[in-house]
Amino acid sequence: MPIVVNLDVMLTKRKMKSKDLAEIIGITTANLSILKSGKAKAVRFSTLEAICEALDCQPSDILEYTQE
Amino acid sequence: MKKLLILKSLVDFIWIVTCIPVIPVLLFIAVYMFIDPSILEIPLEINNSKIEDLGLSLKISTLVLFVIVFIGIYCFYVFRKTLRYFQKHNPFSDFIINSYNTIGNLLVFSGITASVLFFVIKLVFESRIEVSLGLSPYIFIVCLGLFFMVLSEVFKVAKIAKEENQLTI
Repeated sequence: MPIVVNLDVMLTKRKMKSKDLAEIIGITTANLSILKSGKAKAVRFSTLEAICEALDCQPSDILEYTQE
Repeated sequence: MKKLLILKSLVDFIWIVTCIPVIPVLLFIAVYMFIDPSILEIPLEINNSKIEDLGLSLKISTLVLFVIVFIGIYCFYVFRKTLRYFQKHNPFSDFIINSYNTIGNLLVFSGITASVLFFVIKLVFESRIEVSLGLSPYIFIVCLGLFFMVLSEVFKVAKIAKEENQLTI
């Protein structure tokens, strides 16, 4: 998929664990793992909003478009 | 799921009472007609057909007819299997999609073959051309086959939608 999820990078920058982020935004670690691995087909605005709020960043910091 | 249980019971009943006994009988006739052609008078009598010539062309026609019947029985078997799968597993799976597609293809093939076969039988043995413009059983079988193919496509779309829904975070 040409959309790359840079959640790992942001988590490292904020020195936060996946488990903690999952707890804060209210999704399971399994779903967060799907999102991190790029297997997710879509992201809800509410989830994106929660991630941005928890990591104090913009959606563009998490999602990136790359040409295949 | 109560309707599925009723359908499954009916299909099982038809399978046990009709399909299983028909397989050995047809296999026996298919082999025995080459030894003693007079056995072909039994199915001809059942169908009220007046065919005097019990030659090779009739044997070949009978063989083709038996192949069509076996295809029908196989379709019924696959349908029975899908009903069992429905009960135990997820209905939106590749197994169901492939099975419905197979049933559809086979039914369309057998419907067209049967209509051509009976047209040829009338032409060769009764020396007359008969074209049925009404709702013939062959058209019904072809329609049923196409319906199964459409159902397979619908299940494919539903499977993709379900996967996308599951992978929406």
